[in-house]
Amino acid sequence: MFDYNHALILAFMLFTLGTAGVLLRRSALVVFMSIELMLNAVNLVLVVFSRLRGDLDGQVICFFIMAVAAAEAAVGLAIIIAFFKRKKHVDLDRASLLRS
Amino acid sequence: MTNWNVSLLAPEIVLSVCALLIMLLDPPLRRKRLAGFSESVALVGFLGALFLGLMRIGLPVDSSFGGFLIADALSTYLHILFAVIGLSVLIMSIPWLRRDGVRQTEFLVLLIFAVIGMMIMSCSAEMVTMFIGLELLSLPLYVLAGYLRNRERTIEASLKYFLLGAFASALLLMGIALQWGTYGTLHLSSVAPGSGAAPLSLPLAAAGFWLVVVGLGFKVSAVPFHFWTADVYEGSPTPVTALMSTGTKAAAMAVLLRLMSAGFAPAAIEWMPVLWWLAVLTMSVGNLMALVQANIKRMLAFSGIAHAGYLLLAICAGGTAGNAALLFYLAGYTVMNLGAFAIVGLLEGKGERFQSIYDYSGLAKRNPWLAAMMTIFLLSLAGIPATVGFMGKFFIFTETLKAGHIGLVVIALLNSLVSVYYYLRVIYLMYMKDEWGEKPVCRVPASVGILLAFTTLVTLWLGVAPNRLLDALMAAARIF
Amino acid sequence: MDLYPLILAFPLIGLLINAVLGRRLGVRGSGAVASVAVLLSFVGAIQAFIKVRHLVALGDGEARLVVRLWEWIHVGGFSADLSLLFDPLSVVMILVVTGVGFLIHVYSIGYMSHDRDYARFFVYLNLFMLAMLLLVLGDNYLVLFVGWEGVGLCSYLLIGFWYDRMFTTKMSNAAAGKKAFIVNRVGDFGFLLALFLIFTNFHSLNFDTVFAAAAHHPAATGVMTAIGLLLLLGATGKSAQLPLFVWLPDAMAGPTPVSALIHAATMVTAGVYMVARSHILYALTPDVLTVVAWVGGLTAIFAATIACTQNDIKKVLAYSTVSQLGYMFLGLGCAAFGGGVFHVVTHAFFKALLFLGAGSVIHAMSDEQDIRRMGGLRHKLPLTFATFLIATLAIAGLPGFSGFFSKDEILAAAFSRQPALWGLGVVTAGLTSFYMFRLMFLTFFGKSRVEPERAAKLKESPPVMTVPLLILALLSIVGGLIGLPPVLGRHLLGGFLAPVFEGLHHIEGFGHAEHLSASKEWLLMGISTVAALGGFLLAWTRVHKVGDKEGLFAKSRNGFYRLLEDKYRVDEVYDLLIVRPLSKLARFCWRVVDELVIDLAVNFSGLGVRLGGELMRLFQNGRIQSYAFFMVLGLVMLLIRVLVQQG
Repeated sequence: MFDYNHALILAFMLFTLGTAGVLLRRSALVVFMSIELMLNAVNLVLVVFSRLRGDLDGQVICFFIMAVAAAEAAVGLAIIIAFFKRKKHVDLDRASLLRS
Repeated sequence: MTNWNVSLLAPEIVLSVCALLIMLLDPPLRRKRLAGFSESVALVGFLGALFLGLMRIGLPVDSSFGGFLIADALSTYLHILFAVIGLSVLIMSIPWLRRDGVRQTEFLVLLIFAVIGMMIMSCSAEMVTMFIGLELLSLPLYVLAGYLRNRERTIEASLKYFLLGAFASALLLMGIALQWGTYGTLHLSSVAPGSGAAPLSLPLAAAGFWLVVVGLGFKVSAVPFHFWTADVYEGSPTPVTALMSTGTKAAAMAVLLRLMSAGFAPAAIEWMPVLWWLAVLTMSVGNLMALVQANIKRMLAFSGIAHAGYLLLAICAGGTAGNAALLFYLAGYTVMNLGAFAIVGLLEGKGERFQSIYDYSGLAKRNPWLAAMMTIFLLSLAGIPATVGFMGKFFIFTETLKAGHIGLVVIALLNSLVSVYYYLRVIYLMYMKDEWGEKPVCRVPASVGILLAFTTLVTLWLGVAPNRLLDALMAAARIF
Repeated sequence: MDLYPLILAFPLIGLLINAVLGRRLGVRGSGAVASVAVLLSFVGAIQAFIKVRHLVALGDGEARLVVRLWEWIHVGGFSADLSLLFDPLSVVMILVVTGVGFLIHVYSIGYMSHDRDYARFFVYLNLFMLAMLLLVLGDNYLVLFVGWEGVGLCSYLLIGFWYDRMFTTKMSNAAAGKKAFIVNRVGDFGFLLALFLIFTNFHSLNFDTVFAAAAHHPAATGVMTAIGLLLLLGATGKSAQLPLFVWLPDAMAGPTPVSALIHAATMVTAGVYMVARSHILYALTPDVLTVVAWVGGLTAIFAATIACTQNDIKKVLAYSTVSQLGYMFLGLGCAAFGGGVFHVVTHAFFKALLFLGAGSVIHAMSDEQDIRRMGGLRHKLPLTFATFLIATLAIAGLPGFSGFFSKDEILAAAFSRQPALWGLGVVTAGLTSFYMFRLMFLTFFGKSRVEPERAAKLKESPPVMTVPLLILALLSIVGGLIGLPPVLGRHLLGGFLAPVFEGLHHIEGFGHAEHLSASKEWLLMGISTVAALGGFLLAWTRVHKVGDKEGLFAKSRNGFYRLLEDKYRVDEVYDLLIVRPLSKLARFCWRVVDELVIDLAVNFSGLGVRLGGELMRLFQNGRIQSYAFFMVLGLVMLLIRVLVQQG
């Protein structure tokens, strides 16, 4: 028997984990991976609800999110690489030139 | 019955075609030394979009793509606004591209796509479409922010904007997922269909709603989701900053407006106190921070945050007149900010060296016209009468007062009192200080001159004769 | 041809011409353009006056012309037009503004002849005229406010006009300008709040609509009181009353014609005009009116004591302006709205004359402003001296001069309302006479203390400057005739203004000042004359004493010493009982209240705001993750709120 609550809790845990990664990891790459994790948590939520409601729309939205995530990954990795080329590191703690 | 009326997307289609044309034809033509091709195509694209937007004025409300897109007066107005913004940023960026010798093809294409994203956001009737528009706007902006990828500050700005933006998108998406999960629909105008209960009665739905608000609050740079703003504005090339401070903010604010005054209007009692605080924080933090900035772009960034606070005030006011006041302020804010950033872009010089407010010392002697126009924009931002800034504030404050938020208006008035100080400081430097170090006299390209004249005139004109626009906006302010 | 509908157009055209061509026209050309523009406005004002007077004479109660220029804002239930309202009140104001303004424009041609930035100066001056006319002629509060902000902006620009000079050792001219602007914004804050309150309660900002609505269906007492007090706050900012007067003395950093036009004759009376315009709102809240009276009375005496100790010729006049504005508010507060306006008119004449005379002195003295380094100037500057003397007699309120009549009217009103206020007024009258004659004696009498190199260049100003002085002098003498007290004749101004204040008669419970009996009126006039003479005598003897101590004024000592020898004891007593305590009080007011308390408060709130900014700056540390952290924090707070409310 499939328990929707368990699936949702798993999704929220993934989401929280992703958030924690964003807040705590120093490497820009890992932070970016954490954001991807959050997006996947969203996908999981959508799939679970889709099944719960018997409505396929949720799964269609999933595809949208995956497409957007792919585009985001392309752009994001390019930016991270450009940053690395210029600074020879991707450490976020050392990326604070711009401040008040 | 599904309606597939493609004509609703006419401006977006024209712009897309132009972007594709530039991408396809620029490399071969460049070899044949046909300079100016891409600029002309982009110009034609924006003018075409503007024309198509203007043509739509007065047409009845229509929807398309199974109700995913809506063409009402609000979306028409925003299409026109975004076409104007695109056009202005294009005009600003051409001298900059030439000056700093930057590759322009990709820049123009990305600019066009970002504007398309804004347009899609403005006519989306449903959250996933809105999200697609948001990403279409954000992804090019991430790249544009770091367009000069060899500069340390620029690439850092880009990285910051990207990571925080993607994070905010993830939050927004979770919000959308939760909304869909609880209501089974994502139409902005009809969340919680059929259920007699208030839209936010379920905890998950409420959490989803707030996640969406946070995601949009990031884009409008509402406090405490604003921290990226100043850093990214400072690091990005100035034309891109102009685009972010006007276009992005307007697009996200419009979506917020649709959300709050359509689908979630019944839950006003839930979100009003939060919005109240958001508005207060946004105004106050923006103004206080602007006081201590020495970089003009940072100052304008924080001033932009403060202005986002005034816009949130208008959402608190609500009602048709309140919405109209918001849309009016949006137009005014756009015009004066475009003008101010155009001048900042002109004066910073190659390599963007002159961005300190002290570089504006004695500007009145070197470039009296530029100084005079900058003065008008700054006075307008400060809300001095006979400018659009005053009119806009006046409308928003009266509507907010009518809605009964007296405390909010008092705080807003105090805020605009404080804000005068830092705007005035720049005017003071321009007129009442002698030059500080050697500065070249800035030469104004004709195109930018026309843009500046236009924005100045509109700033003054809307300050003196706001009627026609306001009447037109009353129609746009009826949101279904 | 009717020029009055175009009254705004002339300064606008003038400033546009000067903005574009000013540099090429030369100082005379540029000044002529600006002056002619104002002259045409003045002609328009006269035409409007003739028409309105005709309407008043017809006496059907609707003595007003409305020129609708522009449909400004029409949205929802709100509308505000750019309409010019020519009624007796506004016509009197524009006559003064354009008339005195024209003379000062002409004078400026001479005064600014050595300045390289004359074109900018005349642009600002015309811009000021435009804004001031808008302020006075607007038929609703919003237009009034636009003019209000406009004159504030011009004032700021003109105070900082010589931005490269230092005003005092501590303060640059530009900083003085900024102080003026910011202090004024505090007042504007009150004004704007009042406008919002008016609008929400009466659904309009149009004067007629608001007053009619307020008279028939007044809002709750609290609201009406708040409106009155907030409007008063706005007025205290612009008209330099307690507690917001601090900017005016510093505003003297501007060129002297500016001080005459903006900071004496016209702009600073905007607050008086606004309160007089809103008389219905004040009549409905008599308590607020009492506040107005006390603010005015206290400001009057407070500023007058300070004026007694100043040594900068323009600062004496600045504090004197504050004090005289206090009189006007005192008049308004005692329901003598017409009296307040009357004093606006006469004050415009003699105070503009005083400033222009001071300007003539400063001009002749090569920018020296310290009266301790003047003396004996009457021989070198005879015309300036003669006109300055007339103005001094007028402001001191000697019988027959214009200041006497207007001051008397205010004092009479104060007497019938609240004798304590009348007492303040009389003491102030004595002080006024004292400091003005002190200024007079130190500047024009006695032995010259002028530095030799300045003395060599000393000569009377050119006719372009002295002719305006003569005209203003004439007005300072006869200006009072338009408002004779009942015992002497007809009050022409009162009769002219009567239709404006007609509405007051319909307000229930608004006690009118009962008419004083003829004998009482004579008595009051006598007392104020005695006060003025007393001040004069005090100044005279004070000058003696200074001369005695420092070996100066030997000649005047010889002339008067023996004559007054017997009275010398009296002088000592005066000195001990009045002058010393007064000068101590003055010093206290000036040093402690002005410099310490008010400046500190202004600086402190500025500092507090800055500190807030600096504090928040700590969060803006440039690190992505702390930014993300604040976002999450905000989100978590929102989610907790959801849980608390629903769980």
